[in-house]
Amino acid sequence: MKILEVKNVEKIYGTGETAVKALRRVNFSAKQGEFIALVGQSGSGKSTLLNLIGGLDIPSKGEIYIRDHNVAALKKKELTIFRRRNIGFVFQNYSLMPVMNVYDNVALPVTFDRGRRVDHQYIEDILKELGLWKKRTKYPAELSGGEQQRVAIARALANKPAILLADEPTGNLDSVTTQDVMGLLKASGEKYHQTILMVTHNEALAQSCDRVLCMKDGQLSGEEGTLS
Amino acid sequence: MKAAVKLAFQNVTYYKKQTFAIFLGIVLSIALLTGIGSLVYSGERSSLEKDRQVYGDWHYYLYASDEQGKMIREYGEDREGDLQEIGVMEKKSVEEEPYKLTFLYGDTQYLAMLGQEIEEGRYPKSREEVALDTYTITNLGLDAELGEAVELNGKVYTLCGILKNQWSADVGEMRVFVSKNFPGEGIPKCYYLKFDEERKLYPQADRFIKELHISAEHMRTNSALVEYLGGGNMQLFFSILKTGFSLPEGRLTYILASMKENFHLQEKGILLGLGLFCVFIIYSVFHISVLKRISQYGILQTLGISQSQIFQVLSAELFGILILGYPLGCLLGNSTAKVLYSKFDKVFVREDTGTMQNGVHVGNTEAFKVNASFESGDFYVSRYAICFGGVLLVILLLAVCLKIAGRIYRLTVMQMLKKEIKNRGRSRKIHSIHSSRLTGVLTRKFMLFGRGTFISILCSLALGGCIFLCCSYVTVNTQIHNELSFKTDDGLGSEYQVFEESDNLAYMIPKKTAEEIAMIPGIAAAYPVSYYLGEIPLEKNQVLWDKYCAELADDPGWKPDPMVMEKYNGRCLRDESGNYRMKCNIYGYDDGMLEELKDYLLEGHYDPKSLLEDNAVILKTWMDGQGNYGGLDLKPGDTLTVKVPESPDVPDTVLRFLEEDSWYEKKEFTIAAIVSRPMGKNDQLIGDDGTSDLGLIMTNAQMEENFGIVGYNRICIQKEKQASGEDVGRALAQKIKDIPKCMLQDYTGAIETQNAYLQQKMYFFYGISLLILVISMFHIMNSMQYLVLSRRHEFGILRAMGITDSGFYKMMLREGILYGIFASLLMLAVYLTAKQVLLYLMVHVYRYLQPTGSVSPGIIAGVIGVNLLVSTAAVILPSREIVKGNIIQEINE
Repeated sequence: MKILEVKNVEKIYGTGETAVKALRRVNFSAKQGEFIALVGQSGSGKSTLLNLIGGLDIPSKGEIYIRDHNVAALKKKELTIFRRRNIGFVFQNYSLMPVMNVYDNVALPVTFDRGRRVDHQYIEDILKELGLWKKRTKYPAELSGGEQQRVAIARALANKPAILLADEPTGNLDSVTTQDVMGLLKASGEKYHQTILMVTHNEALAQSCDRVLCMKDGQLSGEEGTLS
Repeated sequence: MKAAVKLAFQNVTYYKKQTFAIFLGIVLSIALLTGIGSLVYSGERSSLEKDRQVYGDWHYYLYASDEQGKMIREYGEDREGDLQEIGVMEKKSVEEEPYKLTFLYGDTQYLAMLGQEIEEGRYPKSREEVALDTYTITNLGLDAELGEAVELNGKVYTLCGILKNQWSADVGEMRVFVSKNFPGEGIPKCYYLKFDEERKLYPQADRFIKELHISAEHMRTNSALVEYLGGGNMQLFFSILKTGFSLPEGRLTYILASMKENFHLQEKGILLGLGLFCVFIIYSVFHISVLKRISQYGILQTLGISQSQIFQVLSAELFGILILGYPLGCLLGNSTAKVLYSKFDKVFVREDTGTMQNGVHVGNTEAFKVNASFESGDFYVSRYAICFGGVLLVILLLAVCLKIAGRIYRLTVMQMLKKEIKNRGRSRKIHSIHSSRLTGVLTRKFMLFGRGTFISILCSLALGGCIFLCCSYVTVNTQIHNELSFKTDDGLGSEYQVFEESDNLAYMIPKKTAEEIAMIPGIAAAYPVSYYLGEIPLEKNQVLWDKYCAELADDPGWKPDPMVMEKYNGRCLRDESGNYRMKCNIYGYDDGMLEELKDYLLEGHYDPKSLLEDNAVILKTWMDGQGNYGGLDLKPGDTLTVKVPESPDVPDTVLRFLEEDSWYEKKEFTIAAIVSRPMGKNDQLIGDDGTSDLGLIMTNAQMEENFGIVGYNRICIQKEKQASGEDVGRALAQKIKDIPKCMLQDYTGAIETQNAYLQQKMYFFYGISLLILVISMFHIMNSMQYLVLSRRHEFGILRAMGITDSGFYKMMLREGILYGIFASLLMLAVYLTAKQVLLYLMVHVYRYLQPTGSVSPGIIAGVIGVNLLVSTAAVILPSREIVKGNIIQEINE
C-alpha cells in the first residue's frame, strides 16, 4: 500500500538573483513498512526533502501525499495536527527537551492532542524494548548519545506514526551504537508497519535499508538498489 | 588593558542592539536618579526660601547691651566673611491694655530680615508717628489710611507707614513700629545675625561665640534655616547614635528622626533607593547581554583569557557605554524634572515649617497659608545627586563586572560554547502519569529553570506596583493626617477663628455674640469653645514618663519656659512625696465638635449626652517625640480630681495654684475616653501645642455647671462655600469690634490650597511610580525577550512534535499569567511588609495622626491587572517571533 507519494516537488530559497534551487522536480513514492535510505553529498537536498515531507517546510512547487493527504495544501494548523498524528521525527542532534525526563519526553507529543489519553502501557513497552525503562526518570543531559537517540526514537514512535523521518540519526554515534539504533529502527518499522525514511551519509547503513534513494544537486539521481 | 578596551569596543560596535539596550537602560535610570535628585534639591531650596519668609532671613539672635552690640558690629566689620548682616530691634515698651501691643523700633536691616518692608508711606521719624502692619490695622479696626490718627494707650499717633504683614510665628502679637528716638523702658536691644550661607553655619557661629565670649544659651536659633544650612558634622552623627542606643526604647525611631532632621535622611534615602534601582536595571540588562553572547567568552577562554582580563573587557564595555549614557541621562532627567517642577513646584516644598527655638510654633493652617502665597523658587540641578549617583554607580557597577566575570570564569568552556549555564538539582517525578497537559509542566519548568532571571523578572514586575501601592498608602494617610491636623489646629478646619487674645480668664466672648455670629449670612457653622485652666494632682505611680516635662527632666540644656514658670508655676510639679501636680487646659465643646473629636480617640467611648449625665470628661493625654501615648497610667473609668480657680475673675497669682484653698474649688470627674489631640486650642495661658500638654474636655453645659463658665474663649467658624470670604470677614470683624481683646484670624482658602497640593503630590508620586514601572518594563521586556528567545531550540522541537500555534500561544500566555500572578503575590507580600514599616515611620518618625487609611481594593486589583497585562505582553511579544520563525532553524539553534 502506497503511503507516501512525492510529485514534482521543487524548493527554492530566496528570490531573484539570490534564488537557490534546493530541490528540482523530485518524484518518488514509498509503501507501508518500507525502510528507505536517502543518501547524497552535503547540500544535495536530502534534509530539505525530508523537512518538506515532514511538513516542517513548504514546497515551492509540487505535491506531497501522505495517506492520500496533500501535505503541501494543508493549512498551518491542519498540517501541525496531521504531522503530530502521522509523522515521527528523529534528528541528528536528538532534539530532546532538556527540562523533561525520559518518560515525559516520550509522552510529550501525545499530550498535544487534547482529550487523547496517554497510552502508558505502550510507552512502557517502547521504553522496555529500547532498553530505556530503567532510565525513564533520567534527564537527557544524564544520558549518553546513543541513549538520547533511543529516547528520540521512542518519542517518534509514541504517536504510532505512519512515517518515521530520521535525519542522520546515527551521525553523532559510534559504530556499535549506530548498529543498535539501526536495529531498533528496523525492528520498530517491522513491528508497527511504519515507513521509515532515513537520511544518512553512511553508505553501509544505506545498503542495509530496503531501498536507497540517491540525491545530487537537488534531484533524485536514481535508486542504488534494494535488499528486499 | 589596551587589548581589553579594543575588544570591548569591538563588542560594543558589533552587538549594536544589545549595546543600545544597555545604553537605554543607563540613560533612563540616570535620568530618573538625577531628575528626582534635582526635584528634591529644588524643593529643599524652595522650602528654605519659604522658611526665610516665614521666620525671617536671619540665623541667630541675641539680646545684648550697647557695649556688646558695639562688639558685635566690630566683629561684623572685622569678619566680613562670617557675619554678613546685623539687624537691630529695640522693644520700646509692651502695653497689656486694652490690647497687647508691642512698641518697637527696627532698623532697615531688621525689617528686611523679618520681611516687613514698608508697603505704603515711610518708617516713623518722630515720636508722634507710628507704622503698623495690616494684621494690627485689621485688629485695631483702622481704615488703613496714611495720616490717620491712631489712638493707642491713651495717646494719639499719626499713621505714617503700612508694613507688609509678617509671616511671624507669634502672629497673635500686635506690633507698633516707632521711631528710633521713641522713649523706651531700657529693654536690651535684640541683634539679629546673618552669617555666610555659602559655608556651614555651625563653625561660624562657634567662632562668633568664642571670640565675643557669649554664652551659647543666649543665642536663639532660627532653626528652620539653621537646620538646613548648619551642616551636620561627624560629632553630631556619633552623638545621635550614642544617644539613640542609650535609650531604653525607641532607639531606631530616635536615630531615624534625628538623622532626618540633621542629615536630610529622607532625601538621601530617596537617592540611595533610586541609585540601587538604577544599578539593578543596568546590571540586569548588561548581564543578559553578556549571557546572549556567552559563547564568545568561551572562545576567548579557549584562547587563554584570564579572569582579570574578562573583568577588564566587561568593565571597559560597561563603562564605555556609561560614559556616554551618564551625561545624556543627566540631561534628560534634569530637563524633564525642570518641566515637572514648573508644573508641580509646590509638591516638593515642605509643608511643616518647624518649631522655633523660642517655642512658638506655626500650626499647619499657617504653614499652608504660607504655601498658598509662597512663590517657589527656581529649579536647581542637584550636583550632589549627579556626583552621588556617579560614585555609587561606579562602585556598584565595578562590583557587578567583577561578579559577572567571576561567573563566566567559573563556567567550563564547553558550558559556555553550548550556552549551558544552568545546572540544578532535578525532580525525578514523571509528570505525564498524573497530567495529560505537559505544556503546563513545561511552562513551570521553563520558568524555574533560570531562577536568577525568574526572580529578577518577578522583582521588576512587582517593584513598580509595590511603589505605587506604598505611595497610595502614604497618600491616603497623609490626607487623613492633614485633615486631622487641620482640625486639631483650628477646630474643624475652620476658615475663621475668633478668639480672646488674653491670658485673663475673665475675658470671654459672650454667648449672645456667639449666637449672632452663627446667624451672620454666609456662615455655615460656628463652634464655640469655652476654656478654663486647672491643675490635676497625680500619684507618683500614675506618671510613667517622669522626665517628660522640662520642669521634671532636670536637664541643664532643657529649661522650663520662664514665662510659664513665673505666671503659672510651671506645667508639671513634683512634690517631696514624689506625687505630681499637672496644669491642664480645660475645654468645653458643643456637640458638633465633640463628634469631630472622635477622630482622635485612643481609648474608651463617649457621647455628649452621657458626658453630661455622668459628668464625665475626655482626657487629652501626652504624646512623646515618637508618637507614643503611654505616659500616664490613666484609663477610661478612672477618676480625676481637678483643682480650678473659684472663678475666672481672680488675681493673676491665683493661676500659680499656690494660694490658699479658698481661692480654688475641686471637682471630681470620671474619664470617659482618652484622645490624642484637642481642638480649638488655647495658646494664651500655659499654651497648648496639641501634644505635650494635658487637657480635659467636656461639654459647654458641663463647663457652666461645674465652673460657671458661660462665655467662650474661641469660636471656630466655617463659611458657606459660595459666600464671599471678604464679606464674611468684614461682618465678623464688625461683630467682635466691641469685645475686649477679641481677635479675628482669617484662613480662607487654606484648606482648598492644602487639598490641591495633596492632589498634586498624589499625581506626582503616581507619575514617578509609573516611570519606575516603565523603566522596569524595559527591563522586563528585555529579560523576557532573552528568556523566550533563548528557548528557541526547545520551542522548535515542540513545534516539530506538533504543537499548534494557538497551543504554543496558550502555553506562553499561561507563562505570562503565571509571571503576573507570582509578581502580584510578591508585590502584595512586599507591600504588606512595607506597609508595616511605613506605618511605623508614619506613627513614630512623622507622628501621623490616626494612620488608619488603607489602599482601596479597587486600586490593588488595578495594579494586579497591570502586572498581568505587562507580564503577558512581555511573553507574547517575543513568542510571535518564535511562531514566525522557521522550525528547522529553531531546532538547529
